[in-house]
Amino acid sequence: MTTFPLNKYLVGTSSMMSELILLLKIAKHGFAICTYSDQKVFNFQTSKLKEYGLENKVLVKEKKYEGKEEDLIEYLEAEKNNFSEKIKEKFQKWATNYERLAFSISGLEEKLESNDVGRLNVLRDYFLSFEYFVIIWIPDTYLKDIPAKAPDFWRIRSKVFQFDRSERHNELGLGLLADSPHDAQQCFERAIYRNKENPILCNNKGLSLLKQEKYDEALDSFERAVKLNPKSVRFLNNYAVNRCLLKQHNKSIPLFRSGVKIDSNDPALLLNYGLALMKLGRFRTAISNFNKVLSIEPKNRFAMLNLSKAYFQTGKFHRAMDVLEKLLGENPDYADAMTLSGATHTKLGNFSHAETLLNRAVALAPSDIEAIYNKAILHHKMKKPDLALNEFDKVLSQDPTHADALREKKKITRKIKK
Amino acid sequence: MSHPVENLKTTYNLLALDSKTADFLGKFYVRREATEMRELLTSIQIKHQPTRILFAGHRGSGKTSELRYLKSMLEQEPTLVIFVSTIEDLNLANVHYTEILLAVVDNVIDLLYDIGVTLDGTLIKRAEKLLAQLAGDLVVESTSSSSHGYGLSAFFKVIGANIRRDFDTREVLRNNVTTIISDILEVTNELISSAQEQTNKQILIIVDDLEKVTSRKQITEIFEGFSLVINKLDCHFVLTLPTSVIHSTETRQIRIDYCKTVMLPLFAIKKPDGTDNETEIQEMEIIANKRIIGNSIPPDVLRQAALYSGGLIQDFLRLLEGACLKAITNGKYKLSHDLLDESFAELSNEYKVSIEARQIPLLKKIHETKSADMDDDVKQLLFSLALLEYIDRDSRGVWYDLHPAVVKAFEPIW
Repeated sequence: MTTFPLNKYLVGTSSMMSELILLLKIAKHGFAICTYSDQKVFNFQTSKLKEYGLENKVLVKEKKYEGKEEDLIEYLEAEKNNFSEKIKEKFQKWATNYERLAFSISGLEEKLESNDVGRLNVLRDYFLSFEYFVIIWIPDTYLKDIPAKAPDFWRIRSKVFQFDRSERHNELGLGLLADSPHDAQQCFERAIYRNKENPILCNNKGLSLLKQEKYDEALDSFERAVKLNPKSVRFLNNYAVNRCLLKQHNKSIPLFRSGVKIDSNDPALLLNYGLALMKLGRFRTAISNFNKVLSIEPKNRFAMLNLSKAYFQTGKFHRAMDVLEKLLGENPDYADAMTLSGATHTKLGNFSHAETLLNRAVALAPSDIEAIYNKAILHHKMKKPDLALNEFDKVLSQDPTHADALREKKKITRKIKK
Repeated sequence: MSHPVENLKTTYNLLALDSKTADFLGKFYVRREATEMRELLTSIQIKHQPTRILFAGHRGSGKTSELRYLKSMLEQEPTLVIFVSTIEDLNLANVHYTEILLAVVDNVIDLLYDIGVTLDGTLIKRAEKLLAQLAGDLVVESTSSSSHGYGLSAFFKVIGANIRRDFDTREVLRNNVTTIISDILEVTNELISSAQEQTNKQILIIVDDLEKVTSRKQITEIFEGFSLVINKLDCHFVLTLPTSVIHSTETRQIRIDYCKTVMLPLFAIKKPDGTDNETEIQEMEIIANKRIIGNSIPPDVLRQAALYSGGLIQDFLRLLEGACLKAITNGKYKLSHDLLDESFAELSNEYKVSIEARQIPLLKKIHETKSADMDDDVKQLLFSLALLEYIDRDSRGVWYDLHPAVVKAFEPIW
């Protein structure tokens, strides 16, 4: 059975803050200018910065600029030395909590107010040569002045993040997406209210609806995201997966195709496309998609599993076996692969092998219907109808509508009666 | 082989690399095909009389990289090159031409020290006397002056610190320099001539970063003041300045005072008729390819980034940096068009804030006609890089167009 588990196949969207944190982690040095629309946004984003910083082992030091750049530079130098000393001494807390240091500076707009904007360029050059990352917060009411009066500071060699209320709601929503998708949906709706033309927000609202299994409602959000940015592979992928979740696999195909036209090397897209093709019985194209994923990510276990499933369903059991052996060699406790391997061995008549594998699969995932079902089939093939019936009952106790189990059980009961 | 995500992280850091880094020239510099650069090199190589060149270009167009390359080339010849970075040497925003002169003298003395030139005793005495006059009432801690005269260097470091310290000190120094400027020039020429005679090499002084310091008006003032000084110094000079100043009518006389103006052209990624200019796009791609690890940036995405950048190398690299960041945040191994488009949308927002509503009809007109009349608005657009100046490689004709990020921001509403 091919499914589209949400967490694996949907492509999420990062927030500006997650990009900023990544920058702190990977950039050797440099500086970012963050503009904010109001104090509430500033407070929220700076607290997020500290929180995410700690999660990522980055110590974010906050400093309000107080009028003299010499003081600021002295402060930065002193804190830098302090940090290196502590790291060198490897205080237990420091060594485990922090690997990097970054500075979050606010209040530099004073330079613009005092018409001493040229000094911002001097600070810019200092920040660029400073060995830790510096983040500068400026209210967006100064957005007109900075590019005109300090163009180098604004754009040359700096990274700009523009935080507003919409971004704050988006950030809040992303934080709630996993555990409270309904609350997340409300946050995204507030964000969309403030910024209607942002496809990321529409996409995120779609994600929150899918998490609540509101598949019909989600369609509108993804459709809007794709309309606003038709070149986004992520939005196309999510829209297509939404169609698959509504069992509209035929309608998903043009969306997947558009995505592949834009980026023929996106593993998530190719995988989902392959799954949709399998659902439509187009195994050859599905196999080619899974192979493409494996050429990009040779250890992608999900691509390997589905490739072997496609081989299995087209009767190419030996090929399926080759892939499964490799997959289990690299992932010895992968229950799904074990189940499929058991089923393949059953097809090939290697019953003892199959029994060992299926027993292990059930031990690893006792409630996995697929494993129990395949165990039932194995018992049937091994001419142990009572054991087979027992396993089918287990399957049906979990899913009374399991069509294959109902059909097979009926067959065996009829045989016993005869 | 490194993991693709690590490749992307390394690529990000290489794209963000500063051209002032030590191994930049050896590893990442790509020689520009622009004729102007070859002409600049040749004019210094062949000219025995001091030549003064204005080196213009848009900010972020790669002037500093080109000047570093020029320095490395000329150092292989009988030339001593002094690189004066206004920001690094003076650490000043509101700079005056007298302070640039002092920075030049300071660097000349450092050079004499580095190459071990012996100074004549009378010259040292004259220089020390001059420095005492320069200091005037300023409290300058005495520095031990060696017999070779290198105490002068230490003196200049103290003066430099004073310049940076406060406005009043700067004012005193400016006045003092102005009073004895002809003596300073005479002594500096003797220092230069000592170096040239003892090494048998000519001296070239490159003054960089001037456009980063102040407003257009202040830049004009600096060049006006410095043009009076520069003609009296017996060495070659190259000074950088932004494109917007070149077009200013106030600077016409200044340009005449300098021997030559060399424009570092942008990469004209489009022709005036709107078709893609493959040669220039490829040149940009080569620059980025030196910094790309593995196959983290597909060729079609790289090409699109070049087109989005308007031929401005700084924006080209920034667009790619931004897209790299998005790729890593989204768990991707390589850049794709949609990530680049997101990065481009952000760049477009950055440009959008620098445009005033009343300028929108002007933007439309320039975009349609590919030409611009040099009024204040146009100069402001050039200064903020919303408007870009291109030079056609074959016809040498100049044409204008908006930065593609500006077109993206305003095309839907005009």
